[in-house]
Amino acid sequence: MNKIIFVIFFGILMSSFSVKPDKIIERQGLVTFFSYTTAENIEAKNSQVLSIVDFSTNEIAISMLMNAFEFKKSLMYQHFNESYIESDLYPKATFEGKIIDFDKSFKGTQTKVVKGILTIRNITKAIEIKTTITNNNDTYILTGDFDITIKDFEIKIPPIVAPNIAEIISTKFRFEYQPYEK
Amino acid sequence: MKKRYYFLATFILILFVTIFFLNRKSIINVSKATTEIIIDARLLTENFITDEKKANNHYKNKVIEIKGTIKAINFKNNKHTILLYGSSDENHTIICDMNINLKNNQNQVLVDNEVIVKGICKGFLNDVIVLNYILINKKTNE
Repeated sequence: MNKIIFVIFFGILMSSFSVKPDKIIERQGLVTFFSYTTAENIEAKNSQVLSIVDFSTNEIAISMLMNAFEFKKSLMYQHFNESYIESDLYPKATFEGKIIDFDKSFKGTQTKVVKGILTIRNITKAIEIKTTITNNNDTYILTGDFDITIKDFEIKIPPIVAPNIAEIISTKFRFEYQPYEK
Repeated sequence: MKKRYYFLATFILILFVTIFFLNRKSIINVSKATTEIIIDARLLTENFITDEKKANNHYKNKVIEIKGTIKAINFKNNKHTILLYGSSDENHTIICDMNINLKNNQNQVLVDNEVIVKGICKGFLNDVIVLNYILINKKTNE
């Protein structure tokens, strides 16, 4: 009887050490977008993207400051913020969605679809993103890419520079999460 | 006829020179820029938490000097980044990304150092975001 009690007690004790966090957070996520045209290739990176994943619901939220995208040319930075995105009026882009059929206990790499709403310039669009999720000793890394059509978010490009900006922008992301302790 | 060609050639030349110099215009040189605001890291963070809109009006896109203590240092995304303690509950920090042109002894900062950094405040997510920071002063805690 004593042995049984001991085993049960030991089991409870060990399980308390292996509790996974309910939420994980990334404060320095990387989002990169590329515009490819015959006239000019443009790349911009944002290295301070915030993302939180809630394991209890498999929900994911992403938020980024548009004025934190960095360009090689400062003139492009100005055009992007002042004319295309109007970041003074619309400072953030967000994504709220869900990772479909996500198994957080799976070790290694799995590919899942993330469905949700992308909001840029206060304009929302439902999107689905194929995402690679790697669980390496309970450190989760999410990577993926998707396209953004600038017309969908009413981004107006002046005709004089239209040949320099692609109509479809390629976007990549990488988030490496830590436990979110509040 | 010749006059027209000269005029057109001059106009095109001026246009190209203008475009060339506009493209070469550099991003704000933080080390040479005038500091607009000097503030403590905790106060800056609390201001954003309390009223983000008001804090954005006050700090966003400004060159600010922040006095704080280093909570963490990392090299994520190939960038030298320091996180300063922000809110009293330590859930919110100030994320400072280093100026990419820096060559000097910035890498000698350590966790728990008290520092003064100067950079451009971009706004707030869960943390205050500061880009292109340079180190103004460093004091080791004894």
